[in-house]
Amino acid sequence: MNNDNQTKELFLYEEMKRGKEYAFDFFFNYYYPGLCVYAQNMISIPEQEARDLVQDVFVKFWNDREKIVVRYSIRSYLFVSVKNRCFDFLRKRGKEAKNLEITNEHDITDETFDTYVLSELEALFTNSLKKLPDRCYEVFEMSRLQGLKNKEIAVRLNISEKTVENQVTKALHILKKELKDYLPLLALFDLFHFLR
Amino acid sequence: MEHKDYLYNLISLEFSGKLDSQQRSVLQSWMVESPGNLSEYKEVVYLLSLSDRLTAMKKIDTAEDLQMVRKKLNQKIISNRWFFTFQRVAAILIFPILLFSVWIFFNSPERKSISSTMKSSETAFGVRSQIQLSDGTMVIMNSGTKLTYPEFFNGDIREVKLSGEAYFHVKADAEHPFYVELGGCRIKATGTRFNISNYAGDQEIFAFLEHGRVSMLMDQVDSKSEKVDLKENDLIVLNKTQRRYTIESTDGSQYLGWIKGLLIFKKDSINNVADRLGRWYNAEIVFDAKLAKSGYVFTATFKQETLEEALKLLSYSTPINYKIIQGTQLKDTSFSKRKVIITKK
Repeated sequence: MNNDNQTKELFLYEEMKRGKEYAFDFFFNYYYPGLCVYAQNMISIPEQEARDLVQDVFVKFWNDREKIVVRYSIRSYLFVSVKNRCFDFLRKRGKEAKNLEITNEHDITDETFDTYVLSELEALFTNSLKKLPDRCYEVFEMSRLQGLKNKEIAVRLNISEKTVENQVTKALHILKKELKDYLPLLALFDLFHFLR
Repeated sequence: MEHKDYLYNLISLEFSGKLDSQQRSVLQSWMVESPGNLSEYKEVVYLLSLSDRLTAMKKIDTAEDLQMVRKKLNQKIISNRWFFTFQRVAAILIFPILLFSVWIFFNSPERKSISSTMKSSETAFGVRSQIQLSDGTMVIMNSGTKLTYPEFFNGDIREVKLSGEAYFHVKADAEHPFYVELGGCRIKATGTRFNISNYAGDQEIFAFLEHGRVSMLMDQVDSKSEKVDLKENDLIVLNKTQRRYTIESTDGSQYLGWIKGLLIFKKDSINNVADRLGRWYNAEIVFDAKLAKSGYVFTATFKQETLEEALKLLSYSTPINYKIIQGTQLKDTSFSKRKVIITKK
């Protein structure tokens, strides 16, 4: 997150403390989708439960707005709150969460959370996706972003499944090159979610 | 390169959970070939997870859920603020209230009815208003009037206090007579319509009975009171200082006109005219001694005329001159009353 955003968010947070709802709406709209997906990646719960959990975090965020001391950023406050809720959730369910001990805020930098911010991740992809040839983009979009099966894409575009596979692979090559500045660093932080 | 494509495809398949055992072994042997391969594998996996993440985020209906959160917030506010404050206040108050109730219980052998708080309603000069008392009695108040009344009538009698002019439409209730305290005398009624004029600056109290029956009770020196019964259309005029009264039968229109927004004079003396004109237009009216002695009577009806117009009309029918001195601005930025000087022509 760049400095401009940081300044903007601190200003909005001050506005929120003064009871301005528009500031709350901004934080909600900006972070809500990412936080829901983040919660789902942390613990495997149905989407609806993840949404309830994140909504509770926002209710507390508003109600405690005068008490909250933001040490790092609003972003890390929100993500760490969701994370802690997730662990509470597991504890209540009686599950042992040995490998998911609550990390200090220090351990998590804002960069980890950046990829859970819808507009920012979208911006990252949009720039790279522009570099894809048309057909390649079409196939990748259907496969990865719409979640269609290779067979469905083949039927829709009237091409063979093999071609679909090839196009996806080609897209991955190009995107990997385009995003190479981000990927290694991000991969280190984030991989454990996926490997879990 | 073709081999790479094949491997990337394997990673995609693995990511979607569609990898068979033979493909898995191919992929794993490539991964362990070099650290570079492993990190390349991680990057591709990460790329795939990012694209999945983007898809998942886009599916969330943020706008709808914001409404949900607003609902939750409203519920919280209602329950938190109101209920917890109420609980706390209740917890703090319960013991004192309990003790107080016990004390009241043992200290009031007669169990008097606890009097309800007194309220008062006032109208400024030039303003009329209407109020309804707790028993349903309607009171229309003329300008510069103050009515003091209990919030609830809960004794054996209904009692209010009047200074100024008001028209009463008393709700019928024979068991709880209605008293209007006027200072030195009172009007007793049970369910009637009457008008009372009792301005502090006036020499006389006027009471006109439009409908029903009322009695006037006048305090005497020996703490007894003299009772005078009035019939419909009776006007009683009581001189406050001399303690003398006269009763006459009249149509009363000049005493009730103000309710409809009319200022009516019918053969009224200059004293009376000056008082009522002054209150009606919120002006101070003075007249010279010669005029007071002259014995002129005035007859006129005013509805929406201005003070100037009213005076002009009066000057047509009686030989008077008048002069209006506009109010001056006071230190507190309000204006003093206009002054009208009436002289004999």
